[in-house]
Amino acid sequence: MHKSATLFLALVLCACASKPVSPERVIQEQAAAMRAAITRVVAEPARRGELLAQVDALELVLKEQNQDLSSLARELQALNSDYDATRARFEDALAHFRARVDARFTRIQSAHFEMVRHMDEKEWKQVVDLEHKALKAASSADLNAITGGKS
Amino acid sequence: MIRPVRTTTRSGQILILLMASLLGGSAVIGAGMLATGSTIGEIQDRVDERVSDKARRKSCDQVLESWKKDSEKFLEANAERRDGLLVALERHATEVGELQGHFSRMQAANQKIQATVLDRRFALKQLLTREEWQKVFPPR
Repeated sequence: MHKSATLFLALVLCACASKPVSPERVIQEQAAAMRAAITRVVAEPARRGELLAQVDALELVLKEQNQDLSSLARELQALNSDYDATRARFEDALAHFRARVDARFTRIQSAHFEMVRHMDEKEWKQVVDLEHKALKAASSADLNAITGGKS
Repeated sequence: MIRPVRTTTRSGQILILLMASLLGGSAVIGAGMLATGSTIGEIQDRVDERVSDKARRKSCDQVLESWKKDSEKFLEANAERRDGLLVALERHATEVGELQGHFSRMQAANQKIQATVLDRRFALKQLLTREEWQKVFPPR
């Protein structure tokens, strides 16, 4: 799944090897694959509920990131077109974006380790493997759909 | 056009997508063309077309070639950093500090390439008139 790492251009280009797929759709499919894997591997309702709540949290972060990248792309594009734009304006935009990414990473890390805490090693591997299988079958399994695959 | 980032065959979790999004987005904002939507090759073509002065055109080409090489070098190295992070994400036993370390290294690298790209962007601007710039980077 983790193909190239060029998300922000994909917000505009959204190019996939076979057909265009929206980043929103990729996010939905990824989250659905993870939910399906958890549901299949973890039978206990309470623990499963905890895990699915973490998937919700991760999906929300990803949607926010997607929107933020679109905004930043527009901002940088406008700055770049402006002959008089100062370097400080670019640096401010990028610094603010990095700060937001740092904050999102904290949330992702928290959700990740909550999931690890609620699954043993065997379950974890099963979930990862099931996700892989589901994503391979999905039309937008290629991360190029969200990353654009070009820079 | 910048060479595509090396890819792996593994598919994976939403966490991996998240990391690719968080760090990949930052990376390409650094290595790419500041959201112009154009590749370096396309910009080179526009410069060649719009700048009639041969000496300045040559200087622009040199800046753009450096920009391209910086970006390619970064994207290659970033693919390796990303793979390290992804392996850590898929391993159940990975600890908080290890994950944080991967992330911090990638963010630091992103920040560095962003500064380099700005160096190149402003070097190019020094070589172009306002009118030329507007033709090379028209508002979209």
